[in-house]
This record gives sequence, C-alpha cells and structure tokens, in this order.
Amino acid sequence: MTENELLAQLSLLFTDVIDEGDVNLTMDTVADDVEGWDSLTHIQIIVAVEKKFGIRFSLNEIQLFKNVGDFVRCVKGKLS
Amino acid sequence: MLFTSLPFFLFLPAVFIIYWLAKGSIKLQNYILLFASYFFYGWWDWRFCFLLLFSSSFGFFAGKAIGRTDNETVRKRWMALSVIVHLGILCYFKYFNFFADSFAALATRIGWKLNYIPLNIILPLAISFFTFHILGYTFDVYQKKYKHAEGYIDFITHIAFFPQLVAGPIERAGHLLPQFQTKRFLVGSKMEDGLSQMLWGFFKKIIIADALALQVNYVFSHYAELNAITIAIGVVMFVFQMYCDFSGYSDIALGTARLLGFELLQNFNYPFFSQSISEFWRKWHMSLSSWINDYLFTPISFAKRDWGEWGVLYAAIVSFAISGLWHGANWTFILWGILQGIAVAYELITRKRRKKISKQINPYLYSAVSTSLVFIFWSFTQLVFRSQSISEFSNIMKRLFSTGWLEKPEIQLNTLFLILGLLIVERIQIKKPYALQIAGLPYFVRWAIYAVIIMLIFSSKSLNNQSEFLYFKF
Repeated sequence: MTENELLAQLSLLFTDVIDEGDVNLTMDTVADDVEGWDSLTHIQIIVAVEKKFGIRFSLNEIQLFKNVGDFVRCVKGKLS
Repeated sequence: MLFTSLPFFLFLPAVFIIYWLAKGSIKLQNYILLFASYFFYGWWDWRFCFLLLFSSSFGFFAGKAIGRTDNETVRKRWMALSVIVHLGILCYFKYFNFFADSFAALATRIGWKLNYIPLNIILPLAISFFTFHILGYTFDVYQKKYKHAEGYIDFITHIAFFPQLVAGPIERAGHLLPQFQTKRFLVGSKMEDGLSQMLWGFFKKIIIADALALQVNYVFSHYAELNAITIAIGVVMFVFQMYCDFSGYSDIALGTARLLGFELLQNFNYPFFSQSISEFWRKWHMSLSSWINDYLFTPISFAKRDWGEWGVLYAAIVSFAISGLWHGANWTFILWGILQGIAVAYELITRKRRKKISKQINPYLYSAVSTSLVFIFWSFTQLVFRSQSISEFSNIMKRLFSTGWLEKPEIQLNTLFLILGLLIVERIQIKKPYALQIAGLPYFVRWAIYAVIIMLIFSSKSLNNQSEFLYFKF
C-alpha cells in the first residue's frame, strides 16, 4: 500500500472516530489541525487503526508520532 | 517568600537589576537565578534546600544514565529507581501519616490492637510540584522524546527557577530547559506584558480571592447553623476563590518569569466557559492535567485498550484519583479525583450520542445548558475538595437537602458582583492569554487602567489581611 493510499484510509478512519465532519489528512497534519483530535480520541483512533490493519503499536511508538507522516510511515513499516 | 509579601517586593527588583546587569553572560545569569531561587526557597526553611538539591541532582544524573545508553535493561532499571526515589521522598513527606492512619483505622476495625503514634513530619513546600517536574523529565528521556540534559547547573536551575517553583505551572524540561541555554533579551513591550500579567494576578488574588475567602471561611465553619441557600452561595464563592487564588498565582508566576526573559506554560484558559468537563480540564490547571494525560491516562488507557469502554473508565478513574491524591493526603481528594474521572470517561464514551442530541437542539440553548451543567458539577466536586473530611462533606450535603432554599441568604452578597464582573471581563478577553492583556489600546488608556487597578489593590482591606495561596499546601 502506498503512503497516499494509507493517508486516504486513515482519513476515513479519523472521520468515523472523531465524527466532526470530513477529515482530510496530509503527511504534515498535526493534532491541532483536526477538530476533535485530542488526547482522549487519540487512543480510540489508534485502536481503530490496529483493528483495521491487524497490527499492534507500542506505547513508545505512538508517543513519538510528531505528525500524520510519522503515523503513516509506522503503519507502512508494520504492513511490509 | 509570598508573591504578595514585602520581602518579595524587595527581592524581585534586586534580582531583576543584578540579572540584567549580567546580560553579557548566559552562564552568569543562570548562576544568579540559581542563587536567587535557592534564597527564595530557603526563606521558608533553609533545610529543605538540601532536599531540592538532592532531588534535582538525582534527576539530572538518572536522566544522563538513561539517555547515554541503548541498553534497555539499564534504561529500565534507572527509570524504576527514579520512580522509587522521587515517589519515595514524596510519599514519606506527604503520605506516610495518611497511609499509616488509614491502616491503623482498618486494623482497629478488624480487631487488631496497634500502638501507633503519628510521626511529626513537616511537608516541604513545593515538593509535589518539583517531584512531578523532575519525573516528567525522566519519563521523556526514557521515552526518547528528547535528549538528556548535559549542563548540570542549567538543569538544577531550571527545576528551582523561583517563579514556578512553589506552585507551578509544572514545567516540562523540553519547554523550559532550552530557554536557559539561549540568550534572553530585555525588551520593553515584554516587560510591560510581564508586569501587567503580574498586576492581573495580584488583582485576582487580593481583590477577589481574599475578599471571597472571608465569606467562604465563615460558611464552612458555621454550616451547621446556616440555611441551604447560604451554603450553596458559599460553595459558588469557594469555586471562584480557588480560581482567582490559583490562576492569580499562576499569572504572577508567568509575569515574573517574563520579566527575566522566560515564558512559562499557560496554566488557565478561562475554564468557566467550557461546555464539557473534558474541555474544563484542558483549561484548568493545564500543566497538571497535561502531565496526568501524558504520563498516566495515555499509558494506562493504551495498556487497557482491549477492554474497550471499560479501559477508558479504568484509566480515567485511576489517573484522576492519583491527581486527587497529588493534591493532598485525604480521602476527600481521592473522591474528588474519582468523580472527575467518571465524568471524563462518561463524556468520552457518550461523545457520539451527545453530539447527535446537540444537533437537534438550538445551539445557544445547548451551549448554555452544557456550560451550566459543567459549572454545577464542578461546584459539587469543589465542595468535596473543600471539606476537611468525608464525614464533613456528608454533613454539609445533609444540610443542603434538609433546610430551606427559599430563605434569605445569611452572608454578604456584594462579592458576587466581583465574580460577575470577572466573568464579563474574561468573556470579552477570551482570545487573550490573560484577561488584562490590553497591549492594543493606546498607552494613556492602558496606564490609566493599570493605575486604577494598582489603587484598588492598595486601598483594599485584604492587603494587610492576606491569606496564603491555597495551592501552597499541595
């Protein structure tokens, strides 16, 4: 799966979990750019991504994400 | 040294002058701040300077030991040792008697006889704040969020930095430490900004909080004889006393730091306009709630993510109960924390459902109802917070439900106008980092406003009759 395909899939998941309207993620998006993406919804997003792709994150991995780009690369690494 | 005392009014200008005279050397400026901060802390009890020095030195060397190796076992051992040392010190000073008392009470209840005499332990000022500051740094280095500190003097100075030492904001090394390593500039507009934030803090503390304190103390010491409406007004007054006292302290801290060229973390962001408890917590004592979120709620809810909604509830209750216990060794604080945890978890779990409901209702009505419910919930939990014990809390609750709500209030109500005025000013200034930030106005208007506030403070009866800041005991 390419990074762009992953971005599109993640955007759909974010939209569904956050439920504040359509979310269009880019590699540079950070939490402050997305309404409703706070520390509380963050864990729900992580769980949704884990379920969708059948992968598992470690706490250290999710705490080092600085933007969506880091998130996408981490998912991509786990899928390949 | 109290921010609102005469010694501080001599101390701060002296530090300011010496500090800026040394502006050619960052190193010398940091030494000046180190000396000034230990002098400030030692003013209460010089013996605890050694405790502060030990804790921050241990934090520095543990951070270094964790940061310079990739060996996971070594890193884990140092992290565990840091938690044991820092929490061990905190527990000894703050919680030893609480846990020993609770254990002795339980033992007596099940029939054991214990000859137990509580130890005479003095609580060192600021211990909860600097312990969390140092532990946060150690966690961050352990999680590789940033590199460990290299300069010992910079590190121990940033922990002891006097504007934030006693009652926060609980700083993050990643935010404050780099400021000790870069040049600071004496800029006129920044100085005015710092002074006006300090002035706003003094106003909230001396004019509002200390005036409310008189009424609140009366209500809580005479609740057995007062009617329900008086007690309810007393609780609302306490809510604003606590807010003005603590946010006032934070404003003075931020303003003082700015005079020395530093920016501390914002600690309050107009919490009473929040439409949910979760939003309230993002705007109230923000440096503590983000600490609790980063180092407790996120790791716990992540570890329990397979439990679904129960995991969220568990993480929220445990994190907020610990946050309650951080405030003090009393079951009232733990109950207060648990109530906050349940409310936050409830909001998270029902978020989508509540959103649906909100779409069917007039938005102004929805926001007015939400803001009011948040305020009622917060006031109720502040009643728990202010009570000396669970039994006092239940006695006050009984009194609230057994006497008349329609009787005449038995306290002076004029301080309620101060609260109303405060809320109006805050609503107007809601986009500003603090409510007295009026840099956009012409200078003669600004200085006229400052002059009026200064005159109000100096003509206040509370000036000679001040109470200590409430968060000093935490």
